[in-house]
Amino acid sequence: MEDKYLKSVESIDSIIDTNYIILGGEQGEPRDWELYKFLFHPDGRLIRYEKSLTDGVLRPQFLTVDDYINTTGKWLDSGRKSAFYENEAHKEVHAFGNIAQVFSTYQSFNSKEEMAENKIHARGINSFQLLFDEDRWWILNLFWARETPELPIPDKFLGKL
Amino acid sequence: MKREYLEKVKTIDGTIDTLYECLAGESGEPRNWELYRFLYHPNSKMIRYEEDFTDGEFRPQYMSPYDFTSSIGKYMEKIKKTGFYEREIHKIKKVFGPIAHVWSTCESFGSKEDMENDNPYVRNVHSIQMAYYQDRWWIINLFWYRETEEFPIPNEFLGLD
Repeated sequence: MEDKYLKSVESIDSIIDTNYIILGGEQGEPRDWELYKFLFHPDGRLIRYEKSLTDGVLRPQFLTVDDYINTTGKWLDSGRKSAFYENEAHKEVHAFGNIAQVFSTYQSFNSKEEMAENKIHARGINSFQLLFDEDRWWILNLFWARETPELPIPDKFLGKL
Repeated sequence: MKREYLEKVKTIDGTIDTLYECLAGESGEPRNWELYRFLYHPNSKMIRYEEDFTDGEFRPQYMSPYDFTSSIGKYMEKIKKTGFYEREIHKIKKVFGPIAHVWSTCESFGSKEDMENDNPYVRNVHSIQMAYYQDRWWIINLFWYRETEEFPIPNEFLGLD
């Protein structure tokens, strides 16, 4: 197995950083979905609390990693009209023994330049449940909600308090 | 009946208190599993990172709430020779609008007397992802880990820091 795969899951920080880095890329640039899938437990889920793509209703939507890659992932790769980059503004980690949960504030950008200038396209919160098993970390669940005008991210989750 | 159930899931605290209360009882005392399952989203999972029942290996084991109530739940109700009571020691809540995660430390007792005498036989940390949807809170995932000699629960998760 490639070294970068194991490196990406050696710590809580590395698995979360890798999650953000993999999603990033220029318009039309293929992402490394194999590595993305490697971060997740085979039974792992992505749970988006956003408007459903089918009927526009806001509700929690449970996706397997393949579901995510084949929909949002494909769109990031080939459908989106601009580049996409993501980084982490702040995180709060609680860990005990082999388990951890992380409340991670993400921010996304339409280009590398805009990321360098901190010109944010969108933000939100990712709640991760993580497990250390078989000498590596796994994402068990990634559950997220986006920031909206009605729902601004509180300062404490931006590291400002 | 539903109306009284809805009262329990109006708040994060109410939902988690009910989670612990539903499990409690004397040996042979029936539990309200209908209420217990009502706390969970239909797609939710309970994930125990403990020895597997089949081969004794540690691995994450995924169950639906129905799997849980019909196996471990039935055992607690009908087979276990002692009572079972659980009490929350400490809780950390991270909330962003309709999504939340909770890091809840609890202790378990074999009888009411043991609970009164602060004599737990085991302690656990629960990582719980929750969503507010359709005017109520739902448990999206419950992931837990038992305290061991190798990994004692740190003071900060016992409310002692």
